[in-house]
Amino acid sequence: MIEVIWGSAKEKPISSRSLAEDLSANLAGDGYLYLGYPIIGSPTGPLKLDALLVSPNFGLVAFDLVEGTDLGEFSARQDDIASMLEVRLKPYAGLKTRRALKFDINVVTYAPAKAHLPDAEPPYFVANRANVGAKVQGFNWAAEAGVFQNLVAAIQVVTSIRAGKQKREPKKADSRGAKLKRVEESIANLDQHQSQAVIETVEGVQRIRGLAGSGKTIVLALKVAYLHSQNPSWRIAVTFNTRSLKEQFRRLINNFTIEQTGTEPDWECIDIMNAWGGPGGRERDGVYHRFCRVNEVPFLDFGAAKRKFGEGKEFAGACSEALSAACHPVALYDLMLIDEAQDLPIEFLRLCYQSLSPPGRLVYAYDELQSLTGSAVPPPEELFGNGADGLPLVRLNQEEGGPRQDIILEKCYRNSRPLLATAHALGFGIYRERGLVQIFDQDTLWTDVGYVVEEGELSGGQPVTLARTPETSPRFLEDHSSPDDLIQFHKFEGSADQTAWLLKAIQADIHEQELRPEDIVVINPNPLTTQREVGPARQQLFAIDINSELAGVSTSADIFSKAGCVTFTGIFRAKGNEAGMVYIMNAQDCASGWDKTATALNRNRLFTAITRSKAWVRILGIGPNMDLLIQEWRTLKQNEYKLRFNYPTDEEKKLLRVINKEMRGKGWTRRKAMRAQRDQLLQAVERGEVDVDQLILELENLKLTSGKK
Amino acid sequence: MSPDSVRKQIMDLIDRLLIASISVKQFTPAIRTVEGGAIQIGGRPGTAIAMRDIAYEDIYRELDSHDAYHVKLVDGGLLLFQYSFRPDRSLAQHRLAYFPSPVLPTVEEAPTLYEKDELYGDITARRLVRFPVRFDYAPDETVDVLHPASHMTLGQYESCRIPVAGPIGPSSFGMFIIRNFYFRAYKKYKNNFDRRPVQIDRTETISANERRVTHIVHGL
Repeated sequence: MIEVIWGSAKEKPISSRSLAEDLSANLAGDGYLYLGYPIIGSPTGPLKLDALLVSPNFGLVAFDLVEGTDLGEFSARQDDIASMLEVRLKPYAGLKTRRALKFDINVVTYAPAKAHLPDAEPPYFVANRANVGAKVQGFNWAAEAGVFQNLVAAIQVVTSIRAGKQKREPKKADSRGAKLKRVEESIANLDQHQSQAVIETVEGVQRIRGLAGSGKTIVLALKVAYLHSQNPSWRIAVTFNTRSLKEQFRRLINNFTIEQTGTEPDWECIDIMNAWGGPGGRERDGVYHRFCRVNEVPFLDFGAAKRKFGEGKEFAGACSEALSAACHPVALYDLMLIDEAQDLPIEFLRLCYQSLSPPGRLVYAYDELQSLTGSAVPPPEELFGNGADGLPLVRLNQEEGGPRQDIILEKCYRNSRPLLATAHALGFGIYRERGLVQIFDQDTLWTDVGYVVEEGELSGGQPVTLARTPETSPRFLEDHSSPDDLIQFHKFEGSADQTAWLLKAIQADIHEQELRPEDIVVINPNPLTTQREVGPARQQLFAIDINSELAGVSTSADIFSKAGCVTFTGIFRAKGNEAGMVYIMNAQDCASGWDKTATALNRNRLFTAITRSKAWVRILGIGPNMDLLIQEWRTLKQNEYKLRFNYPTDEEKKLLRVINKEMRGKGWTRRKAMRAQRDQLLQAVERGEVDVDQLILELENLKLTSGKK
Repeated sequence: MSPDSVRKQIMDLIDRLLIASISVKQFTPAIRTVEGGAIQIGGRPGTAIAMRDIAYEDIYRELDSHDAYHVKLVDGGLLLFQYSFRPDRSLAQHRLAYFPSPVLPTVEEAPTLYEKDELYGDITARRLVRFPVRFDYAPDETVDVLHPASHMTLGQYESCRIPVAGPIGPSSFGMFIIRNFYFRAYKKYKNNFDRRPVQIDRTETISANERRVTHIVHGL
């Protein structure tokens, strides 16, 4: 089977398609056919290859595609392609004997529209639809099989993603610093799935899903670099809602474009901006603000939107209002990429879609378990709404042929298997005494995100055992430390104890375990208490000469900017951050909420916090809720970090969803009414209409009786 | 005012800013004894740009990206403390500066952003005018009334030198900024901020002529 990877082939669409058809239909052999890939930087500007076949049967064959019938100077073009490919591949040791490549580089000019081909002598080849299969079959792979694996790897290296250019020089071989260094060195290159996700280009909507740490942000940044190199005139926007991602995107896109083309990207064509944004120049601009300005509809800032639509619905309301006010939205971009889509309202995604020139190229990436605001991302048919004809505007094709519109990155390169299983078990409430908190809508998602069914089956009412494999959770992420060191739970009597323990642990990490301060992140998952909770710990660390940074809008998530500082962060700013050692303080806040939706939301926060860790995580907390979490984790540990539970029936699943929705409405109004009554009572007290002491007495009594329960 | 009391006050102020979580990043001021026995506190590489005649956005970005400050406040405002003492330990000069971020919303514009980590809290149409505040003490450059020994400069205006009664200690300066520009945090952590700092003697250097023009009387 020849697997086709559909890159951006805008300039030669017809010949690309027919080559893909001819080769995948007529060739008896295996391999990958890349369309519109690779791009090779050269002194005279980037050389874009039209197509490249890598096959264990036919070796390496590059194609020079001709759309019409004019072949031009094809032999000169073939010389260029062959020599640039040689330049690209020669740096790899596994591909050459002394200074010569171990295999031939073949180049074929393919002109499907030309009936009569001119004569060509090897090493020059010309083909049309009738004989391209035969021409390719004439080549063969002479080198040994191991070399082929190296070749595939070399071709797929879109870039090296080695993050740490900083120095790490551990002195003890078994310190955490040394272990982290080895882990970081193992994650040097993109894997095949990731590089395919980068290259595959859809003339429409593309969805990328993946777990935290599966490389979504890097894939998006690379996609921008790749598509910008292929289509320099496209106006491209990248958007997200964590401000701290901005610098990271800028650096990644800049580096990748330089690697691809040898030149810097044209920043006039690429906007990296916030989802919302406001007036005040390019630095402060955002997608929604630009939409309002260009379409001349009223812009709402956060405060105004909150007053108008209520808490939690600010952005959704603002976007939906802007969308209905703009009758014919102006096409702002040719391509938009949205990261962290799970944290953005669907109205915003629609607004993006409406701001695109035809054919509406939109790439959105998300991880459904990471929603911090409690809203799930619906399937695309629902997400983008219906057109004038009543049919969904967007449908993801599942059919054969053509680029993949729905991509799942199943391999997780950040979190080890025990860590990820802990995050999932607590996030879903798999071992929770009171039952599941939430569940994936689609059963297949479990296997999509890298679990295998070890026992039982994924069907309603059946017991099932889900486990992660070394395929999807590489062993090197966990082998460096014992499971008891990878993940620990600690319960404390009070806040001061927790801080004291944290201080000691951080001190040991830095002074004994050779971690650098920037390898350590401390997360407080409740956004309302972060400011209050982190103060004492930071002050006490400062007193013993360990500096810290409080992540916020004024700091960058980029590792390069935080040398010498331990990072303290609330959950919202934790996104986009990762570190070797993660401390989660006050985890008890995540055990449950005042209704099921809030519980799910809090559990998601814990999930997000745990998945920030590249190696170790310490979960700290206070009080009985912490006991609940510890109990759930113990059960998971006894089950060898496998998820063993009764899979919910469709009815139960519906209930989980329905309850979430209904409870939100009921609880919300009830709470609101209670608040109003309380205010009235307080006002009555102020006016002297109620006896305060009597009231306090009654409340005290109430406290006693409810305490006894 | 002695090198020791100044250093203690700076460290104490940083402590309080940490407790209140309004310092997001901070650096211990360096103490350096230069040739001849003079002592400099708070030298940081890259701070010279603050005086150059370039756009404020550029000044701010340079200071921010090179960590050329002692405290970065939660909304990006930067505090800088620089003192130098003569070999006999008397104060030779100081430069105290507050550089607000030209881009990020101030705490007053977007309180929920900073207090509740509100995700979209930074989206605000309200725009206050931002301006740097500097307190300089340079007795060697004094020209009566025209260039008072201790003076305050607002908004990088070249000739803005509002006379100040005398040199200012780190707490006095820091609390001037916090009380006026970070009022919400001040109120919320009033106990923390109102505790008496390490004592620094208050001295006056203002001339009789300078007293006749509108001037500022500094506190403790």
